[in-house]
Amino acid sequence: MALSFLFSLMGIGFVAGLFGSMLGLGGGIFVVPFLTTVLGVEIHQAIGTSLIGVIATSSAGASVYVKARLTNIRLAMVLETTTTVGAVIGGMVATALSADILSGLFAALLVYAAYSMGIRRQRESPGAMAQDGGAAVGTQEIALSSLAESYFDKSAKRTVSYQVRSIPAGLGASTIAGALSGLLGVGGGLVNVPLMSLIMGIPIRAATATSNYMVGITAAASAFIYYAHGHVVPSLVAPTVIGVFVGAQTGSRVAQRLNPTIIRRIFAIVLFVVAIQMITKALNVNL
Amino acid sequence: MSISEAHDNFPERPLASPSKDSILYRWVSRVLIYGMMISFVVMLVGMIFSALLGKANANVAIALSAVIPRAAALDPLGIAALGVLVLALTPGISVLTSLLCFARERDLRYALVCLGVLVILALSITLAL
Repeated sequence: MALSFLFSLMGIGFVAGLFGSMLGLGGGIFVVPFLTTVLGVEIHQAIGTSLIGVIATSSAGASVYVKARLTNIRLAMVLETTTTVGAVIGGMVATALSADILSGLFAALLVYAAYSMGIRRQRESPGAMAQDGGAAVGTQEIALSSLAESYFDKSAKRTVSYQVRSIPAGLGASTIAGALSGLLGVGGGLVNVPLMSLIMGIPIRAATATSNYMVGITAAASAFIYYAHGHVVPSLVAPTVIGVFVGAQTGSRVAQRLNPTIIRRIFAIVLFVVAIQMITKALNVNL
Repeated sequence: MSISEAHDNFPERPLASPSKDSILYRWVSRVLIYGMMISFVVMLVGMIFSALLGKANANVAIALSAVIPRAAALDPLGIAALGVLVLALTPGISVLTSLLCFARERDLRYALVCLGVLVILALSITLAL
């Protein structure tokens, strides 16, 4: 009995990490619905578990991106000043809400995620500027902002430099991302990446890398709120997190062999179906 | 791609001239990967002992202040909880690392920004104690 429960959690975590990695969403958006609908885990505990899982996948991915200097650490720290505040508030609100309300809110998030995957395509920011490695022209102008950065794009074999704009808007939206993370146990990348790439003028690769680093810090801010209310259960968290990590590593390999458009549309449907299940459960409706 | 493939595909970028940020990026990367690896090992040890002793499905939350005492007493759930705690602290330690690197480079503006983030994280931990 004990072993089967442990393996069930690892399996749930594996599938969540696999899906999340294949879709670039992170495991959080799958961990909560899978734990609640498949294993009947109470949603506050599922969210607490998910937040620790977000930290794991963030740490793994961010270690690579930071080493490659894709991550804009300065920008991440600036945005985290408001993101962490939002996360703490989100966590405190979530622990005060009933399970049914949280389930309904999470279902709404799943619908949005399904829409994003099924319809919207991410665009490269027009703010990205290509610069030949080593060229000096324009570097003085680019270097004026302390948040400006550059990275070497291995596939394009060139240095990409960019400036960061719309900091106030970024800080405001980051607060919302943090609140979302603390409230529902997701990473916040759903808000961070479009915010940075479409509004702040950051190339999509740097935006993804910076968001990847940020979500771990954001999740940590609210995870301790869940700790305080007894919603971080080691026997749930440990096997799930390990499963998420292994699933994410597997998903990153599998995704390369599959058509990304088809994957996204299939999972858009899956997320929508799961959203309906969570809504009906929250409303105590039998379909 | 997997972590190992990613580390191969994204090697530390060679710089034409020494950069004051090299230390920052190198150490933050190390903190993240080592924190995660240490936490996983500790969680696995706790999980294996829990399963062997039939405590794997014990739906029991452990208070933050009790994690270290229980882990020191070799309680399997306490050990698993310690692994979870190490993982939860890893991002905060990376922020602390950034603060120290910025302070070392006399980049006081971003050192203060990191300090602000650490204060919020510390507040969150204090609420959990």
